[in-house]
Amino acid sequence: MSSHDILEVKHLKRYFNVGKHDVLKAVDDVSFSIKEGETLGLVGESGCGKTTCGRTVVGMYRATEGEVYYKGQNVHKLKGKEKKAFNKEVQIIFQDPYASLDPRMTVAEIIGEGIEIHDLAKTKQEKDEKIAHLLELVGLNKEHANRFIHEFSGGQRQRIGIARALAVEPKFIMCDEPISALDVSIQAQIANMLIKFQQEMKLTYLFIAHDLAMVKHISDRIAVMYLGSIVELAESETLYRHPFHPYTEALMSAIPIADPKIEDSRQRIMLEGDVPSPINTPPGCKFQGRCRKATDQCRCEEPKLTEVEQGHFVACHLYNK
Amino acid sequence: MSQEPLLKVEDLKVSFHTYAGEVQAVRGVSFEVKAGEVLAVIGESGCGKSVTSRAIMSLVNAPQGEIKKGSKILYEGKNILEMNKKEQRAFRGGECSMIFQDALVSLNPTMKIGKQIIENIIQHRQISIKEARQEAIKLLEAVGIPNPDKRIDQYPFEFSGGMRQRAMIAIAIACDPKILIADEPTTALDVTIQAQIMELIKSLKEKLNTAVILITHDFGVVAGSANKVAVMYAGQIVESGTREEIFYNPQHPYTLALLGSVPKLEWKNKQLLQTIKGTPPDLISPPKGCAFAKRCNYCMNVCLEEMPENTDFEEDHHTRCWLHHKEVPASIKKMFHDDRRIITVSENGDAAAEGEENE
Repeated sequence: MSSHDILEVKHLKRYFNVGKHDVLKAVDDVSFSIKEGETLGLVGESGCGKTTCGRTVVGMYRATEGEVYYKGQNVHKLKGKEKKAFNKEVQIIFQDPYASLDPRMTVAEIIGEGIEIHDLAKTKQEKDEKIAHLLELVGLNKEHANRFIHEFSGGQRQRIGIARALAVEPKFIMCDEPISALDVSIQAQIANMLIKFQQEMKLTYLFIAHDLAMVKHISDRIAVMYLGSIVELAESETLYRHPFHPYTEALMSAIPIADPKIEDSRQRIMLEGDVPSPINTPPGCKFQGRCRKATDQCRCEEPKLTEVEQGHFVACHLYNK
Repeated sequence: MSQEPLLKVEDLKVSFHTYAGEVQAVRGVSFEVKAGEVLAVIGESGCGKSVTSRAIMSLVNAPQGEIKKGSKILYEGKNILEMNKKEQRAFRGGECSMIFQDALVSLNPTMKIGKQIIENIIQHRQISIKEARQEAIKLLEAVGIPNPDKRIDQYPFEFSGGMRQRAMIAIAIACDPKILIADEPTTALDVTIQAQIMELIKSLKEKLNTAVILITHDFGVVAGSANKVAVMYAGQIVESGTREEIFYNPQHPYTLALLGSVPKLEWKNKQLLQTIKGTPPDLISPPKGCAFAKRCNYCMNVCLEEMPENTDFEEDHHTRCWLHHKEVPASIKKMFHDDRRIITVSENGDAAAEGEENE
């Protein structure tokens, strides 16, 4: 672990028991690290375990195996004061702004809750000032503070969700699909806001999403997940220009590009079928059933994530020589 | 193409009566579609694009919903809105069918997939149940569902999201419709599945020479499949034209703003995106001028006062914007053209580089 890493994930596994004998391996041996001030994008199809991975990393789920280190401390072993300090530094922005905000609390109560818990304001006046400042920061008025959530649109709710996360002056934010439930024009507003706050407050993001163009835009590095494993991890520019893993290739070629000339001329790599079930996966590479380059080796041996070029990790037998 | 349009919508106005007042969801929409053509209707949520498609399918229910007098939806010269119930039923599902956004909600969870397809076939064609079942298996195969003879006896919950959408398409094409309305067919799906479904719709269109009305909010999907594009805002079509005209020569500030708010892959990381300030207007009391004026960067006094007229450009390219009036000062026009160059310029320059990447 280098000194700049704020978060390190080592061989993290998160299994769920389903039924008597079946095990769902939502996250299966995932390792990565995030540098301070960096954005790591986590992409993959629905059901690939990216949300579970994010939630386990911030301690919402217990890990089945493996460790997560935040500033050198094991996240899953924190207790008491240290746990509280961790919860202050690490915040979450959820996907669904309709479900993640309490409909019976006013905006001021939602944002103020964290400030109270962590004693960030000495007087009530100071707290109110803080809330007003936060609302202004995310582009709302301080008059909005006494309203309830149902009075706001989806974009405004997401702004409140962001204000709540920023209220406790965090260092690290796990953004779980923060913009996918919003309209195109509103998506751009929220994305701009996240980029701006990162630069001003030196935040570190773990950015989970399935909108690949947006992830590329926001992230420094991107990890691609498939059925609970990271199959490729690289700088975002490299990943889009020269993907190695056949799955990443297919994923990149499936992104619709808003340009008719490119759309007419490009060749799509079509993936057959759907993502297989993550329950009791067969041995070998998880992608082999849909991979057009699969060999016998892929069917019996699972490839490990190895560094192929500097900073470019791939889990594929084609490159592990 | 000089052929007659298959479907012609003229001055369609739809309102919904609510406790808060009358919501004017669609305010005078006109367009036409020819056979074998894909018309994409693009816009934000609440702009009236789904309501328009529902009006074509006669799915706007009284008493809340009301299609205003003077609206015309002409299918091969006949006004759908004046048809009786029986004719309407034959048209809906037989001549024109619809793919809905959310396949899990739109399919009946208590009926087997096969029965839902057979139901549609028997409704519109004079064949026995046995023949209809064979037909249904063929349809499932045509939309790319493996083991169709087994799958036909399964329920929707046993299908994955992509397969449900395929089953919906199978129901929609069961009677070889002339018009297919796809209402956000891929919004709920992953990109890889989205690509599969769009390919399927395209190949079906070519095979059956269907006219497709594609409703979406994703410019990427539009670029990949549409022939013509109509941009909707607050219940009106603000700009319409061929795909190339809309992407490379947009004339309405809203179209331009929408194009600018989608991140492009060749853009530099973390560069700020173009945003549209504010939110769409309330359609209970729509503004008397241009509906986009309050959010527009080039707003003039006239925009707030009067509704802009249609300006025609070449090749069926129309827009509703005051910017193209001859009395508009050159400085504002220049501002618009400069901004447009920034947003659309990379399209030609980077096309070569993109081509290499995809090899």
